[in-house]
Amino acid sequence: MRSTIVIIVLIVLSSFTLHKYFVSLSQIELNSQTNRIEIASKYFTDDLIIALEEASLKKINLGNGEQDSTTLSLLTKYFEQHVELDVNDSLSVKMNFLGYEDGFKESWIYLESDSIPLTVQELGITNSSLFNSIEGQKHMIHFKFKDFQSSDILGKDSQKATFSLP
Amino acid sequence: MSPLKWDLINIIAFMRRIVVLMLVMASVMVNAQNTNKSKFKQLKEEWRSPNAYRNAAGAPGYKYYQQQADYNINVTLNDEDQSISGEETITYTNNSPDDLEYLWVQLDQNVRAQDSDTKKMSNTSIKGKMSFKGLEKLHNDFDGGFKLSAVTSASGKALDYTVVKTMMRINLATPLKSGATYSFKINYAYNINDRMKMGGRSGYEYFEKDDNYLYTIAQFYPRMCVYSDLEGWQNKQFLGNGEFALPFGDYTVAITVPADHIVGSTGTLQNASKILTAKQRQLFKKAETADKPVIIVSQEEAEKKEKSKLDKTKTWIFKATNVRDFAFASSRKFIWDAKGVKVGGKTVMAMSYYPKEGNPLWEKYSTEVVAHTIEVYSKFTVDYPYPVAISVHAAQIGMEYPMICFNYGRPEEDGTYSKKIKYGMMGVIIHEVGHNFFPMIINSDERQWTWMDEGLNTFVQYLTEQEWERDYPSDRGPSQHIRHYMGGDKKYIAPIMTNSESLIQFGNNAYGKPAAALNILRETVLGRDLFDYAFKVYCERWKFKHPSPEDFFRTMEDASGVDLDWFWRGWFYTTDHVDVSINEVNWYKIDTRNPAIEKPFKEEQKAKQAEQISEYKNKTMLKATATEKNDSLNDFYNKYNPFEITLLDQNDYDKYVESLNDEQKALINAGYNYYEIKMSNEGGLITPLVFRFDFVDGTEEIVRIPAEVWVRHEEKISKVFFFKKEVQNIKLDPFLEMADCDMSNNYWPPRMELSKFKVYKNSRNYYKQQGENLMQKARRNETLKQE
Repeated sequence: MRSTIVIIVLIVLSSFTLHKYFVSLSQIELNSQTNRIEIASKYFTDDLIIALEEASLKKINLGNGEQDSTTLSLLTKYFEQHVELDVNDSLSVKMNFLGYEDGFKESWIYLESDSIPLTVQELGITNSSLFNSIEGQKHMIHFKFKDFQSSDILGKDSQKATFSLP
Repeated sequence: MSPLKWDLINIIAFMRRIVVLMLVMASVMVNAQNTNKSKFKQLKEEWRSPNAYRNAAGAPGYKYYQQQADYNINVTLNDEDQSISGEETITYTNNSPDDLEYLWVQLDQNVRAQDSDTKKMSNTSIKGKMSFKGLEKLHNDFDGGFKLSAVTSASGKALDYTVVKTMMRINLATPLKSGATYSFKINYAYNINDRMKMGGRSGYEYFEKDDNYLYTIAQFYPRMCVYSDLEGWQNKQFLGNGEFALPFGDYTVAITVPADHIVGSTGTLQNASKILTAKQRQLFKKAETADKPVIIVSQEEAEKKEKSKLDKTKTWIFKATNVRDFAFASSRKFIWDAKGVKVGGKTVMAMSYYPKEGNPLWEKYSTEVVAHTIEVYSKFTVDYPYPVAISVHAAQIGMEYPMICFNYGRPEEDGTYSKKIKYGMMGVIIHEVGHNFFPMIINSDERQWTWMDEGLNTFVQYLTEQEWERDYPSDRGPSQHIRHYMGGDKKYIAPIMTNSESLIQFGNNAYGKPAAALNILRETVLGRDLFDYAFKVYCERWKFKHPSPEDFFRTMEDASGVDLDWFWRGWFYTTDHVDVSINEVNWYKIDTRNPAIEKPFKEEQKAKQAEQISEYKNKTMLKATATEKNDSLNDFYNKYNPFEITLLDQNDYDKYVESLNDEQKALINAGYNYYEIKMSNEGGLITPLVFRFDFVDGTEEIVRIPAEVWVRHEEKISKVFFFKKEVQNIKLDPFLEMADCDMSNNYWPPRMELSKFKVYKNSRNYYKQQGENLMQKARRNETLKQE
């Protein structure tokens, strides 16, 4: 239980409320050859803009198919901060932002972990992105390792998914 | 293919296998079933029996009825405290065969009341951090909701009524007889919500710079519920997602606003001579026949008005006939333009109202997009029946009402705008103007079924976008866009036929999936001619009426002549997805029995056969065998050449040829290649099949197979195709029209389908540009040039 409220954002630069549902979709795979986690996530571009603008207090150029270095560095900072990976309940592994593809309505975010120096038995993936900016945000996660597949859905109250490998 | 030829092939029977490709067969569970669970089973149990109200063909039955609610409303918009006060007379006609003990009225504003269920049911939590926006939302003490000051009969006698959250029951002293009409009055007021802070389908936006308000006003009067043969009273609470169910009626609405405001509204202005200047009326007249939008109130005039405020008021009077609702927008900031569009021999006025903040985007596109939408929708559905179609600029939202809608799309302050804003604005205008057809005219019950208006509308929106410009960036409609959703974990997916408030993944469920389904129905299952005809019949049958899902399904089948129960069952009643897997392909040729062809062929095959390891090594390591050392050990069998063409062979062949008729001879000599493809249905959803065969000579052929190929074998099928040419590659779903969720098993020879991640990693982009939109960049370039 926390007893303090930390206020982090003072200015809202822009917001869109066109869609009435807020779900991102992630395909997460443990690559058996590299022993790295590979993540491809699809977000609503509008929601990403709101979250990034709140986090950076800068105007974000996203969804125009015009990639730029400012947006790249803001996205890198944001996602490396909000996506965490731990293995076998003991080791925290760094997630690296690889890049993004910005679409008119939906944008893809790509992350890859450092190589995991253990045999993975259990994976914990935490994604805290957007929850503070978008009310009702959910993250749908599809995890895959060889033939093993499992899914989970993250919400503000359950930001971590754990997968036990067979 | 005629049966004769198949018999022939059976008779010949000496088919030879050249290539056999085996893939791992996915195991398909076959459940022991004692009831009919066929995916082609007719939907007799799911659907209501046809009756006198709605017939088996999907049309209104001979006893079809609907209620009528006429409104006479006087409403005042108070700019000082951003509130609405009004009085209305509702005249309700009971066309049903039933006597009604009570009437149900909707009080939608109560969704923002302090004690509303919407507020109570929303999940809130604090996770260490919270934004001011979140805090403000939590603390929100906005005093919303209708304040009813009088509910009386037409003669002024107080009525007995009960408010149930967003609904109100008028308890009648004597039942309203079938065929009778009843009038009653409600006096009310409410505070308008700040749409930018609290959100909402209606509300106001405050412009701090010039201290002015822009109002988009809707659900502003207590509205009658629908009473029908389907639901009785549709009095399901308004919780926020499931939109509205409303009866048709005629409206007279007098709107009192500050005298310097411009009002855009449902209906036709009745007192233009009092309200508009002579010049404005003249410009309006000119707009009726203009080929591009005519500006009736200019930006210059609007900006001038922004600077001062008039104390006086004006009352704008509008009339609207046969509409299910009424909404309006009002501001002194409004620029107003208009252009006439000819639809079905009548002129419809396409119009836009926007503040200067919407320019230059709005003056260029809004009215033109409204006009385009009306034209294209009229082609695919019914002629637009109303006199005006209006798009109002409202930051953040897209929301629809009869004849009028509120749409986002605001450029930067420097007048540039990004591609996203441009196409976002055009898309939302097409979508919201399109809602005039679904559900305003073809008046489905949104509270019950979101897909019936959003899904159908999103589908026609896609057609309209593609008719605006080639390669318009449509995000919904094309079937490949719905694959990620449909192939996902079924725990988080609900069938389309799910009540509006219970939907999981609202947008994919009610907008994206039905739009993709209809696109597949049009392009792949029925074809454009059959689909377009049936879809138009549905729209014509149910315009100005209340259709149900069955009415849509039945009409599409009845008018196209195609049994689509399997399609509705799979796409609308289940969460199955399309995934067909090519598991095995076998290639056959007919044995001609012609020794001149077959013997060299066999010899060739023998030569191609892989050598065993010992044979291979012995070639060099074994110096000589016994028979090589001693020739006397060889006899006939050592010297016999099995591939030699003998006279006996030739005689046998001649006899065989003599036994054949000309047709059979031709078939043998044609040299066809036969490909037997074995497939399994991994996703469960029944689908037509589309194949592309690429031939060795570089040409290709598309083959389409109807969904009924699965009718007796829902899990596994085998299908033979034949060509004179040799096939190099086979691809299933080459045009991405089947919504096949896993493309990795759609190729022969098999091919790995890279994951989204790997595709990205293989083709990484480089980042060069800075954070500015393309228009700003071009502008900077111009400045550089001039320097």
